[in-house]
Amino acid sequence: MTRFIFTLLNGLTLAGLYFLVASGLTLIFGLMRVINLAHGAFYLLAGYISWNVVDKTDNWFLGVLLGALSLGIFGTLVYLILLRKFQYEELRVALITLGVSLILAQGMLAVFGGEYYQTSIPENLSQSIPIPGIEISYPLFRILVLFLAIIVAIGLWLFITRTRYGAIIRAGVDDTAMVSALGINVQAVFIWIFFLGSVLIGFAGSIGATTNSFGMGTDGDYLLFSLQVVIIGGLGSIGGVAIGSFLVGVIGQFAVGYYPTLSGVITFAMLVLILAFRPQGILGKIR
Amino acid sequence: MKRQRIGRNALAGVVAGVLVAGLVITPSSHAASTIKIGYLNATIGPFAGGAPQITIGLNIALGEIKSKVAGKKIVILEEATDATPALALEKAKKLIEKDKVDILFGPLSGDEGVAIARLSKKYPKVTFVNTTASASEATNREPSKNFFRFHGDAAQWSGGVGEIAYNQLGYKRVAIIADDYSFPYANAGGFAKGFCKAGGVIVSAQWPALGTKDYSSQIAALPKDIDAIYAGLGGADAVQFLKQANQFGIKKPLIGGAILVDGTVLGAKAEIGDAALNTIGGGPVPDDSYSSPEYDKFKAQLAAAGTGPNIFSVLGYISAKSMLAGLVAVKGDLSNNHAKYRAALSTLKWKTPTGPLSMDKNRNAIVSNFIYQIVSDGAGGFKTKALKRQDKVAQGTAVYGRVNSCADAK
Amino acid sequence: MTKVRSTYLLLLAMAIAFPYLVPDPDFWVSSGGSRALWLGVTALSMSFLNRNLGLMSLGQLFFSGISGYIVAISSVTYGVKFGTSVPLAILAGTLSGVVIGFIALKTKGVYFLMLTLAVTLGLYSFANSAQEITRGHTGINSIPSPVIFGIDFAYTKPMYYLFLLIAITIFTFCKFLESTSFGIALKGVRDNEDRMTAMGYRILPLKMIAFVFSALIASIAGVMGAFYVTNISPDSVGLIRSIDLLVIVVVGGATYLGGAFVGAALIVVFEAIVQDFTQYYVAATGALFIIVLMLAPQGLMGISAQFRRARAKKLGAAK
Repeated sequence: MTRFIFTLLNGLTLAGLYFLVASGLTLIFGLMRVINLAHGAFYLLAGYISWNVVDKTDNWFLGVLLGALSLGIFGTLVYLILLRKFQYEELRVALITLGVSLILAQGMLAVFGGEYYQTSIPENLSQSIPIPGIEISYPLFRILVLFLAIIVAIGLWLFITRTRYGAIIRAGVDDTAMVSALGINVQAVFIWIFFLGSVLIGFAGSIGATTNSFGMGTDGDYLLFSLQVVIIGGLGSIGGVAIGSFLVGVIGQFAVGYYPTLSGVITFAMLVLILAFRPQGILGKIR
Repeated sequence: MKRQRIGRNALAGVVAGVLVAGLVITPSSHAASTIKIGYLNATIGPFAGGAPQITIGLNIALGEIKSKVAGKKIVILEEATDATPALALEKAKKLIEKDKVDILFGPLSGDEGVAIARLSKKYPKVTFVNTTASASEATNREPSKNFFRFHGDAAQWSGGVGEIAYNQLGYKRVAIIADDYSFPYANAGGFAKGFCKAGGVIVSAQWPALGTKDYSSQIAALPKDIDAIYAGLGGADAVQFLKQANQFGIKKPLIGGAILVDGTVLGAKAEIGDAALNTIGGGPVPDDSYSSPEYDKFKAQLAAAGTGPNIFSVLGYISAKSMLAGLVAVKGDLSNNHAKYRAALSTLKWKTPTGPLSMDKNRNAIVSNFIYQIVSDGAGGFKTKALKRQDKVAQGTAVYGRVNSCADAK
Repeated sequence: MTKVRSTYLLLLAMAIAFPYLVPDPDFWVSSGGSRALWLGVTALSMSFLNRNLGLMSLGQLFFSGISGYIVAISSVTYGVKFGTSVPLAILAGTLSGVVIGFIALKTKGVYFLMLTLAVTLGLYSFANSAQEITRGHTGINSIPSPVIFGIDFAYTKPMYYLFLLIAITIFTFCKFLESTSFGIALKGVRDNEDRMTAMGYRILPLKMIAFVFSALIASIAGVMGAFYVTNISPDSVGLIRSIDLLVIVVVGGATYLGGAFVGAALIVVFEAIVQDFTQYYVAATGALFIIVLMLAPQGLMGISAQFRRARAKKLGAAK
């Protein structure tokens, strides 16, 4: 029983992290039809930046803030320089971002080396809390990540469905000419979306750098996680990402905990099974 | 239509031009007055932290003979690998076929080592000297006549640890958690062999993939009725496991695989807490208090290069020094497919900083092994304390896979 | 037409004479020629799909990986002779194409790209974790090369010429296939599925045949890779390898069959030169990839056509 609850908690908190990671990807795609396959590399870059800030200043919150902001700026630059011109060519954009991920991966290797790092948890958040019914206590920080993910999810959903900005964004995607005619600068809206999506991945990278160690290869791992999440949940939908994160996180952890040698295959089999019945993902729309 | 033909011809011309340019730009020369040593090192990838330490060891050994043997200059050509067998093979082929090296020095990690040992059969004119790769099967399965390893394999690194765990520390039941590749298999196998023979029981075993970042589920799956955990994790993974074990408040003592208790981990940037305290382990590197004339001299050389003894610097030095000692003994004579040189290497005997070294019939070294314990240094850090030095540890005949119970460790 | 054919003949003659023209033949024939041919055939399976179905697949390494692993396991672990192991491997790789095609062909564009990438990465984690079968991260070493009529194909030149023969055969067959009514129907599906449905074609079987055929090519390439590298490990089907392959296809020209080989030759030479200067040569490859994508999306093979179009546009504007 202890093991079951423990594994479930692991799965849930990991699902929270996966949600943070994949939400930026799906936000940008859902609103702009641009898929960023350098997503894993962005995640890792944010990890390095926040780690270095925390290492120099001893201020964890500053590290997370700068990690998220610098990625926002970096992502916007990538969008402006490399992607904007081809924004309506989905495949070409996806391929360019794959090229970006290659360069980033090697660049980070050259600058930060192949060692693994992990950002220290701030002192007052580093204790473990006892879980009723089981004997082992559980790290408080991991539970906070889960709550953080839930807050971000609700925030994003409210932003897109309930605010004027959300309405402009949704309208701008569906009918660029119409929204422009209303005097709204659609290009600027797109830049802001890309910025926001990149901030989200930067935030996820800074948080993830605290819960798990990171280093060379982490980019590929998290690209795979986010692909699994959005493929299962359905690309472009916040709810889909939530469901996808839950399934990949929880089932993945039970697989690792109970059938470690088959863990990779179990997640993969789940993905195939879901796609055989719903090729667009659980909440994805057919386009 | 005409324009299209021109396009195609132009294209063919461009392709041919690029190919020819590529061939001309990268010439290769081979002067008789030099000895070329190709050096494979896993500087990109999970061992990037340890890899430069091997280079330090190599440079100390080269410095001792001023990079010259009998008037011939020794030239080192380095290629970077990422600890995967495929890239190691590709780079080895490049060094041998394009750069025409006489000796291949490397590789670093176990899986690369097995691949390179197998490859060595294809190039009988080149002599291969392993640096730190320690998978057993590189030398005790289909041994290759031109492949030499001047240190112990991973099973040798555990020599004596299992006996001490059972007899001296009283551990009766142990769970294994170790990286899923050849090196930890052998390392854990060497431990389990001694431990089970002494009367201990392996209760469970988990083999997470190399590079696993989140060990929380494995920690959760550890059985409760155990006396200690054998943690066969290296480098980055070890840091992560120790940190999480600390976070989850694991109170069981650890038995470390050889690379868990190495200095690279003790000095890790991530905090690993007290989870590492009292861990015992074995390996080719002596504890901090060890002293011998050879070791003290070597320590001073390392200090001058800005580092200290660790698995990579120690084995890197011993391997390089052995390789060069053979060259010195035959005065750089590599004629007749290295016949004299290889004979010299096969019978090499010398007093290394970590004790006497000799070679067995599979060209694997017979060496000393050290068993130690991690204790507090009184200033917030760790240090290692000697438990025992085991001499003349020779390679066994087993090639271990995953050791899931005592039945797998015979 | 004769001029085009003479270009092919010229390239063919160069390819045949190649081992006798290069310096350091030991290196360039094997690590240059054979490697480029192996990568080229793998890339060909990808460009065939892109050219005829308009689908960019990162799943080709999945098929290569299946067949490569089966050759390795059957010949190294069980000592099966290559006369049995090779057909078995190619058959298995091709059949796996049916399973993947069943799921993947329901999707298009970026979804197809993502899905096929996930499939390949799925094989990567399986190969890493199923240690009893695949020997995990270590992989399988010392894959023996075939010996036919006393010729040992482990040697540099025999292997090169064997690979050249395979490459030419597959290339020619692709060309032939495209000229048949089946090939023409495929292009119809690529350009307008609805029209083809209206004309009474059954789309899915058509697509499936093309997809499985590309899996066949990739499986053959998988066997070539196993013999060339003599080792197979999870990294042979990892993310970096998948992107490498994509770079070859795009740089060569993803809508041309010959682009696969042009790209492979170029990347092999490019990497051999760049890695003398830096160990981070993969970044240089990535930069080359982005530049090609931004400036010449049709790749090297498409450059002349691109220029022609640009000039025609200019002329048209001038009028």
